[in-house]
Amino acid sequence: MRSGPITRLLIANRGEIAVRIARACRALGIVPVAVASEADDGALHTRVAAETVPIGPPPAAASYLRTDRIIGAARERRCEAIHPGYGFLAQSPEFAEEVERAGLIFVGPPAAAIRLMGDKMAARRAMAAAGVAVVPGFEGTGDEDDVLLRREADRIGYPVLVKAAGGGGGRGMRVVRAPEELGGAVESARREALKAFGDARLFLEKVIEEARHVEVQVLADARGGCLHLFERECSIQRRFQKIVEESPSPLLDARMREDMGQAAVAAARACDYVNAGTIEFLVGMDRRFFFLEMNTRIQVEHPVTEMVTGVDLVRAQIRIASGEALPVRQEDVRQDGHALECRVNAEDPARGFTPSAGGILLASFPSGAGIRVDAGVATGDVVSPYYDSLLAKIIVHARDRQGALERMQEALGKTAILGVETNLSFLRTILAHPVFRGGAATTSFVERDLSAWRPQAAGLPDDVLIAAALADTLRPAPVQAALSHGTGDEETDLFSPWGRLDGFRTGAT
Amino acid sequence: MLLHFRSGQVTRWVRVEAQAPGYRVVLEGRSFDVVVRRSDGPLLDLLVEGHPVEAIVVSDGERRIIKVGDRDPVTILRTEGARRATGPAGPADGRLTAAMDGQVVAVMTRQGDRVEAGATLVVLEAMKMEMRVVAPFPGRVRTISCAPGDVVERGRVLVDLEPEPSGETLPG
Repeated sequence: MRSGPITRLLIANRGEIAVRIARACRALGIVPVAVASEADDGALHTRVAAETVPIGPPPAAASYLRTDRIIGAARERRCEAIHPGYGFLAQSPEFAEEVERAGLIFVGPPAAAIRLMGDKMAARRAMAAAGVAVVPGFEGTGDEDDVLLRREADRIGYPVLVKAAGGGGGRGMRVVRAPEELGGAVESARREALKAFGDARLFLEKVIEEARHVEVQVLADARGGCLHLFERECSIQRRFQKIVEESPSPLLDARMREDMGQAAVAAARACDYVNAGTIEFLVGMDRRFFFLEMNTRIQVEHPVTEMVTGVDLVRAQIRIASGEALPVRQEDVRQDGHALECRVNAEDPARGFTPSAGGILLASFPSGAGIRVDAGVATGDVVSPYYDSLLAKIIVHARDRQGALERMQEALGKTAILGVETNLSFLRTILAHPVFRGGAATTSFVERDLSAWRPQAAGLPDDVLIAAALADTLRPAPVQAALSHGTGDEETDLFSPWGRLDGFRTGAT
Repeated sequence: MLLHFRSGQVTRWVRVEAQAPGYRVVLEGRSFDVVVRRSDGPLLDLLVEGHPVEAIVVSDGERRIIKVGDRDPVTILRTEGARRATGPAGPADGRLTAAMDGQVVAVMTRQGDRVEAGATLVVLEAMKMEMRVVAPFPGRVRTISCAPGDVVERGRVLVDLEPEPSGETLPG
């Protein structure tokens, strides 16, 4: 793997993670260079970067997935390295190879590790060989016909999951509860997988009932150092996508935590891993844990690990890519206090989490002790239908879980993203739910306990009507016309104290 | 000043009159004394009958979005006056719309086709997830107003389906 000093880094991504990477670059004295599609012209991630290179039309295939344009942009702007973020090209071994071939540093693992772990079938075999338990299932050549798959599904026992070899994040994945559903699920999963990954191979896994999703963060350097940074629990998922994450997991005891940490390090070593990665496990009701997959990139939920360990994972990624050793030793890594993360998405939970798009008339985020916000948007930005629906991550840290739950409730109440549908109210329902509060939520929780969720019909309280009437009386001109883009560095907590609005208003003049 | 706001099918009126040291707000016959402690961009810090109300109010055309305190935001419309509510589409409305912003992946039917209830007519994709637009009742496809590759907005009509009883389900 190529490494060396980095003074300018190209961020091959958008949204909150591009903003996050740019901030890490600044902290390390590195010049962050952004890329942007036409839909992201002037987006927050370009405003926090030092420079921006336009890379094409809105569809990702014509911009953020264009290896040639991204590498061309890095060379043109004299960057030594490319950070892929998550999604887009982050887990493309071909992209990692192309970056190296262009004489650039890829901030991530070796292409061989990405390739191995990206092939979920090969990964299962490699993990089993390394002594890490995998979910019971069937993997053959991947192109088996329905008759054979049905026989294997009968053997595994329903419900089974049809999964794509190239899959991840729920794409190309179908739950099959009865034999007669298998054919349709296979057909639909193959089409989705082929389109999303260019690979129609499928395999089967047993559905672990009432499973908990617990993953372990690992960090490895190119000198043979490899350690884990404890677990994150991500059992709160909708349609296989995580929405609330925490560390530590309320499920684990010290012994299990140690066992999972060691299994994760063994898994990383088995694929000669370098840089930050995550080993995902499913934990069954009998507390046995099974390897699910390895994510060979920085993850959306990495901040909860940063909050409890104090290790800045994105900075560590860049330093490891430049050839440095791990920033800590295993025995020095501590899990201090409790951290929670909520993903605020532009989506409508009452309509099957359908994505929403539109202009953000106002974005206001909480601030204060133990609160961190990683946002990808600010007031005046537009949420386009082309990309992921993640708007911002609200992260809190407190001494214990109870304290973190309270802090998160308060932080969500102070978060306002007006103009597009968001899942904020839904997140608050989760935080208040006794099953989640009791630390007992499984990956079935959202579907089972909250599928009938509807926003509370608040009616039209008097104070809301009075505020609307006073606003229209006091302001002749529409408010959003007076707002302009911020860089995200201004004070955006509109709530308290009221006096800290100068930065907000400066942007308008 | 008399203002009208609509929430769902209900229109409510509010009268605002200057009255030292602030305003008198009349909501359908009920009167409130309101003092504006601060009005700054989207922020409104009020005392309503002596109780603090911290609100964020933004507007976009006739739309008003109001968030009071730590409660969920409420969206209402400023209207010109009492207006007859527009009725919802009829139950047999066969104009099938996109339930989300996305891209049309596949059109599984043709104009003039007879389809059964539950038949997939269009496959949409957003964020690499598929969503199927299915026939809510048996019928004949009158028009198809999308094609594979189209980027469509939520609410756009994709297929117009004319109700036609299914041969198999005809009584007797």
